[in-house]
Amino acid sequence: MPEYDESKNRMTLKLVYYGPALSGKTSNLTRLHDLLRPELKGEMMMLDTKNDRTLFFDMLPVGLKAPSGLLIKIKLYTVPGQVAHDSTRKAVLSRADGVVFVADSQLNQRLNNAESFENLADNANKVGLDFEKMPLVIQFNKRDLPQIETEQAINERWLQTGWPILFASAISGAGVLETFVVLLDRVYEIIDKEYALADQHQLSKQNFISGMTGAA
Amino acid sequence: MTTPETSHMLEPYDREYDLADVLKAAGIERLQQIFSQVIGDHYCIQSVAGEVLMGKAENCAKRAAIYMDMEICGYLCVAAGVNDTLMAALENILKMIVAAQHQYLMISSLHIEAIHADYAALKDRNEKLQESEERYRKLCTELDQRVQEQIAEIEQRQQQLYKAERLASIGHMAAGIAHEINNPMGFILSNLQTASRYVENLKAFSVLMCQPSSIEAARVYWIEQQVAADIEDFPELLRENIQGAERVKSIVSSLMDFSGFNLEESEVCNLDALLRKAADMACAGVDRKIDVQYTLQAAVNVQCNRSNLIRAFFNVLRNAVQAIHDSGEIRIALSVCDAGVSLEITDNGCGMNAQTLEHAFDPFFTTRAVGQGVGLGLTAAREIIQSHGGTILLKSQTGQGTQVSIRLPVTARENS
Repeated sequence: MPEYDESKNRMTLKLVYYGPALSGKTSNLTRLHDLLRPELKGEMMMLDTKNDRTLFFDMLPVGLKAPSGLLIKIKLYTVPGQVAHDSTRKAVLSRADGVVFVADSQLNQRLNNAESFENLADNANKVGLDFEKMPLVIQFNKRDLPQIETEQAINERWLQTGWPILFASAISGAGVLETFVVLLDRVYEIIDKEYALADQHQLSKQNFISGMTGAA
Repeated sequence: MTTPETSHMLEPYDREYDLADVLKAAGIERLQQIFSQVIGDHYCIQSVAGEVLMGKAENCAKRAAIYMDMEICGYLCVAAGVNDTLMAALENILKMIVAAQHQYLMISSLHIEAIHADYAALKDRNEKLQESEERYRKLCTELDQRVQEQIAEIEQRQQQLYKAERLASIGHMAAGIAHEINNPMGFILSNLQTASRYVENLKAFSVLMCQPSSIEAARVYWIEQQVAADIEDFPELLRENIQGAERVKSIVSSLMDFSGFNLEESEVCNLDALLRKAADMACAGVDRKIDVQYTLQAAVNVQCNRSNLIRAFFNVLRNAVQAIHDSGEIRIALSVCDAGVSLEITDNGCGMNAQTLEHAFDPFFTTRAVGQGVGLGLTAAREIIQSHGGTILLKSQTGQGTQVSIRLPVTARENS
């Protein structure tokens, strides 16, 4: 559920990058920080340890102002991927309006991906999110590495789930923006139904996406 | 350990913060000190709504917006005379403070949120554990109670069965004893009838002898009626009767021993005597030729329950007797060993096969025809021997007879 402050004419959405440890969630955010040209962009908040492991979360705020004057902020979060940080992960996930699941394409990471995905479903239910209905995009990252699963194998396994499957290489930036756009598309559908973005705020889906990303 | 407050809702870590929040987190007094060292009182910091958070309100000649999460959260204002470089430096410092404190506030709130969630989960798990522990404890108590009830019931039934077995043994013995008593009673009665006839004869003779006229007749009577032979026979007759009566008395005494009418308490008994008594009872009424041989060390005394131990020996010896079909022998050997007393009862009867031997001590296991035994004889014997701290073992082969080895401590006591 977005946080909507009518008096301040402000809506805040929360999107969470979830996934196993070292699958590239923070890389996705730093790439987006470089790639996005939104109307409004804040400073990225990063808190990692010496060995590049996220301890609490990373956060990147972007935003736009709808023609109606409504300020829409999107805060992109990453969760800590390490198994031990489950309660932090759960707290970061709570109140999310959309999720990108960042999977590691390497062949030896299949089990970690599956466990993390189960953990996502589990925690989503625990924090009161409707896992079946919430906007969810699955990104298979690290396509630039050798020893990875083929796209065909991944599609065979995942496409039938109905969630959009995207391939990315966050280190080079490939697929990162595309993933974000697909999630924005889904999130817009849901927010529009409840807050009438198009009718009341004159904000079309296309303008929503382009305003948040800077893409034409 | 302190209990986190759960009564009021925690503010979510990802809420929107305002400038007052972050300045408060940094410590407004400390900030004011630093700012006054740098710029004196020629500044103020206002919230986006115009509220003065630090400094003096009148210093509003120039202002710079401070952003947090892309939005203006407040302003740094300075007096007219402050130069732009100093203002820019202060602005940068303030931005750094806001960014750092914003991050700090989010992370500390997140941490508290996670800890509360952990604590709640732990508490929940603890409650469930306590519930399940309580359930198990209850179950345990119930089980224990049920076991006690079952034990009590089993014990009661066992006692009933032993009573039944005792009665059955008595019944079995009663038949034998009736026979034994009937036999001497038969000849005692017959002897007494003969004796009455002798007395009649003597009476008639004495009547003749009392009148001088019939002396001759008395002499003829003496010869013809063989009165002299009657008188000669009379003491033998009485001796036989006394013997018969003694036998009856001995049987009755055995019966009383077995029934436990005598002493239930523990006492010092001579094993020799107990064995002989048990053997006598076991052989009573048996018409087969059974040779009982004793090899007994004199005066082996044990502390025991007399009637119970007789019953145990009787049960073993009765089996030996019943194993002998036509004729045979039973050897009873009693010796002193390290652990106490060793007793071997050996028969050369029909013996048992391995299967029968395996079940010989099982309650209700019997090879006897229906009505001939309930199969508690050896069970009871073992129970009694064990209650005296002893052991009982069987060795047997079909056609080769059976050996029963009993060990009793010399200080054997009835434990039960």
